[in-house]
Amino acid sequence: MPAKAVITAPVPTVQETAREMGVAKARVRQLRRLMTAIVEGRDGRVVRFLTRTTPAGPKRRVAKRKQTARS
Amino acid sequence: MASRRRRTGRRPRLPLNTAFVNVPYDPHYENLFIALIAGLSGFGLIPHATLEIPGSERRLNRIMGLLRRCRYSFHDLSRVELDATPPETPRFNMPFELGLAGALRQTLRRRHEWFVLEAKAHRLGKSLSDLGGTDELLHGGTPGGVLRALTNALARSRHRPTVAELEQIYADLVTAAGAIKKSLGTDSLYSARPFKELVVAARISARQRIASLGRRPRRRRRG
Repeated sequence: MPAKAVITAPVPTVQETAREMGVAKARVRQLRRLMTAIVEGRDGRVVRFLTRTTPAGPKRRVAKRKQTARS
Repeated sequence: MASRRRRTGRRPRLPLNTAFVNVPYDPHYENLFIALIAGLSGFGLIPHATLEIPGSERRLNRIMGLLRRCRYSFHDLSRVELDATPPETPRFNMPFELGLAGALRQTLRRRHEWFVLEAKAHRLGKSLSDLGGTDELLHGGTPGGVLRALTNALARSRHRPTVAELEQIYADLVTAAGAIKKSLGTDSLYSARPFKELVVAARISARQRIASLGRRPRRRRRG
C-alpha cells in the first residue's frame, strides 16, 4: 500500500463516466437536471427531475402531430 | 501462429482512472458507501463495484475481471465483527478480495495500488497481521472520516479537491441517492442501476462543486 498515490489521469467528463458505467444519454440528461437543482438549492421535490420525461422539441412535436392526424 | 501473434501484440490500454470499491453491502454502511463514491469522484476516479456486473457469471470471475481493469482498489475491513444472525460468522469477503488485489499487484505487469480502510486504530494488526507495516486509512465509521482518509491517500497535481468540496459532493449525493432510489422503486443502493446512476450523479456534482474544474483555461493574448 503506497503512502500516497498521485493521480495523473485527467478528470473524466460526465459523458466518459456515463459511457464507462453504461448509463443512457437520456438518463444522464435527467440526472444533470436533478444535480443542477440540488447544487442550486432548489431541490424541494427532486424526484420530479428523474420521473418527468423531457419535453418534446419542435421536430418531435410536428412528427407526433402528423402521426395522430394519420391515425 | 495466431496465438503467438496475439501474445506478442500490444495489450489494450486500460483506463487509469478506475477504482475498485470493496465494501460491505449492508444498510448501515450506506452513508460511508456514498462518501466513498463522492470522494473518489472528487479525485477524478470512476468507482467500480462487483454489484454492477450481471449475475450470470461466477462471482469470483467477476471480482477478478473488475480488479484487473482497475488501477486502484479500496478495501474496507471495518466490518470484521461477527454478525447477529446464527450461526455467528465474520465476513471473509473483504479480506479475501484484498488478498486477490495484493496477489494481482505482485503478478500483473500493470501497476495496481490498493488501500485498506478501517474504523478503529490498531485493529488491522490484530485481525490481519500479515499486513504488518501497512498503514490503514482510518475513517472512524463516519462519512467525514472517509473523505479525510481519501484526502490523505490520494493526491492530484491539478484539480486537487479540498475536504470542504468533497463534503459538498457528499451532501449532494445523499439527496440524489434518495431521489434515485425513489425513482427506481428500490430501497437499497446495492444493485447495479442505482450504483451506476449514483456514480454519474457524483461526476456531475464534482464538475460543479470543484472550483478548478469549472474554471475555463485562460486564453493566451496575441501580440
